[in-house]
Amino acid sequence: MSDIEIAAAVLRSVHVAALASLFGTLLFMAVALPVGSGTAQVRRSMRRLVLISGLAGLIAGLAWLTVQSAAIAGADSVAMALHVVPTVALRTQFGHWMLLRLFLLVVALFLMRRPGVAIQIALAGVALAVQPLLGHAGAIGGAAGAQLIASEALHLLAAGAWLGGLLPLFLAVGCLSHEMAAATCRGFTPIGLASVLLLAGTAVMQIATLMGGLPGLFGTGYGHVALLKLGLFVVLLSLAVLNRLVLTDRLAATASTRPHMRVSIAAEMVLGALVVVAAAFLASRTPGTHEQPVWPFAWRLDLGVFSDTASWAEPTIALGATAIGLAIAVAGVIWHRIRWPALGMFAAIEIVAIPHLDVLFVAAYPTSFFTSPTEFAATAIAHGARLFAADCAVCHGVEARGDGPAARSLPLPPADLTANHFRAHNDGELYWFISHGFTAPDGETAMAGFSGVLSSEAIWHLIDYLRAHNAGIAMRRTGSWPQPLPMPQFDAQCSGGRIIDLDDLRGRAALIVAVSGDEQVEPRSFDNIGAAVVVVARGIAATPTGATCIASEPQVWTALAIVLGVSLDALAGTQVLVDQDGWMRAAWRPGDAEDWTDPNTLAARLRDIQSHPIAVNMTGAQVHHH
Amino acid sequence: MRLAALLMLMMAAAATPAAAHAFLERAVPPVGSELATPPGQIVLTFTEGVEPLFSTIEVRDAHGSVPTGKPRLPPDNARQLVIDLPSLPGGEYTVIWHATSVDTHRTEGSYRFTVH
Repeated sequence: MSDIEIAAAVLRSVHVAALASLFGTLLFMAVALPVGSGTAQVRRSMRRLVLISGLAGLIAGLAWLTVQSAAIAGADSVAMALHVVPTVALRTQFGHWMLLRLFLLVVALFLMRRPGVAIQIALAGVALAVQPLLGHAGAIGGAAGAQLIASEALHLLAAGAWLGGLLPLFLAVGCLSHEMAAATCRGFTPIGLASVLLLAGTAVMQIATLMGGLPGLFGTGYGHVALLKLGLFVVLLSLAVLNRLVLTDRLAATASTRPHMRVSIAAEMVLGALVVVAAAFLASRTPGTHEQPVWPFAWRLDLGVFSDTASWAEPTIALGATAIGLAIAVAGVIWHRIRWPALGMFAAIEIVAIPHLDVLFVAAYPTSFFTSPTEFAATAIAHGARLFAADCAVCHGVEARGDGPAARSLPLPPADLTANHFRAHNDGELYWFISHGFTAPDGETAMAGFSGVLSSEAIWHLIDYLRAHNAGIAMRRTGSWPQPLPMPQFDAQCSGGRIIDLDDLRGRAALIVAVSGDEQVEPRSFDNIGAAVVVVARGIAATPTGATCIASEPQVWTALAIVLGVSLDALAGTQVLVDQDGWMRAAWRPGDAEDWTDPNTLAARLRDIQSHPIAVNMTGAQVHHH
Repeated sequence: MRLAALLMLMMAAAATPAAAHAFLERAVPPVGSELATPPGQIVLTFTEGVEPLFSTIEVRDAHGSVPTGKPRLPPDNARQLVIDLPSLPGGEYTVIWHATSVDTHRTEGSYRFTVH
């Protein structure tokens, strides 16, 4: 992070903390503070706190807007920063939301003298809840963006209600009688409890969307800041539980607990402030979904065992036993009379059951959760094929069957990359194998790592080629693909000079036809059933007509031949049906039994595919996970 | 430890990655493309909304920068930047883009295309 980004993050945290304090204090006065003559003095100091929080929020907000404007515009002087503030404020999304928030703050401060706190709480709440629109969530768009904005807004409001209520709680415990102070602590409990539940629930959602799940949490810089924040939250929560379950009752009984309670609340405030700072730095970083997560553990969870009829029983029984053991332990903790026998049984069950859960874990590597950036592009597959011939075929063989000329001299036989087993490895694991190689059990190098030889991009291209080739070999053997394979990505030219890629066809089934120079391009249209036609051309200068688009880059022809397991010359005349989600569903070659030259047969097949999508999770670019 | 990890993994199993920060989603003319006719425009589509006032697209040939218009948003798409190009003679071109997303983060990148 540059200096200006750090300054922006610090100002952002001060601004948000002040807003949280404003909202939390107003809510505290309305909900937690007992009504009565003894509270007049503390109400006065809280009104002062509201004023100070509002002003601090206003000043820090203006400072943040200025520094953020400078960062956006790349300003290198104060004069230039001030010069761009109006442009940013008036003509960017960030500026608009900031202006709205500052306006709400000013209105809330003007209403200070009026009785009735509800409208002030509402204004402060809206000002606080605008926060996600100033950050990542506001930029995502679509349903996912709206979901994240709602989740973050709730997160902010919950944090404001809890953390912003700590300072007024501290004041109340300091000046009220010890009985009333304890009553105030009890009054704060519903706010705290609801906030903690909301914070935890919305945090899980944010981990899933912005973090890239657990690999993102453990394996990226963004995730590590989030873990730090999570750790602070757990300590904060422990202190809150201590305050409520132990110190509050003591405070009700004796005034001498007052200093302990105040120290504990002060510690909560410090931790709360650190959480806000961590959140602000989190908001200034690239989210974990944009980084390749470096998995820190030597194993990862693999639920594949549950889909294997031969082996699902063992972990299922072990999981059931583990759960029963835990239930017995909980019962033991609740009922003192059975405590020791219950805990003994719990220990015995777990000692037997837990080792059987081992089958749920498989070896993992730092790159296990890397995802390919290539989108299974035809250009990547074709480039990977050239790389394979140059760097890999000497050991793995021209067909990748593990039978290259140098295979016999190696301490371990090279892998047969056409085998079914190959498909059990995810992209990240293949990336690790290629980049780091293999060592034989005696320590001798069986395969040298290619990390110093090939660029990361080249390794991804190789992986795409290997997947395409593996599928093509299976197609050659059996006439179908053993598991869903996405259509390789390519650009095609349509009539009127429009260029499309396969993403533009999402939602429509497509017929892909390979046409070489010796043949006629038959004009066909399946527009009446909502399907597209794309011609993959070789050696002909065809121009797109009507609704048909044409891909004439040679790599597209090569990639298609590889996934079909045929030579370049044998591809002509081949037809492939792609469904509305981009999966290749069926292929036909001249001479095959069914007659796909008959438009009625093809239309029937296309309709069938359109009405039977396959249930495979296919989000983002990564389409070949297992 | 493993059990805890297992429970957490189950919780986060339905993870759907979301974008943030404007990264290039697609480009016209496409990345690395070879064109028979010179393009009249460059259209860059990003993974999220961008601020045109604080984003730039520069096109370079062998001699330096090619004069182009300022980037603008098409009226129907806040994730696209468009610039108009003068008539480009044959040669290799590099497109260098700097984007500021609506969440104020700046990203940059470049790619090439060739006109025959």
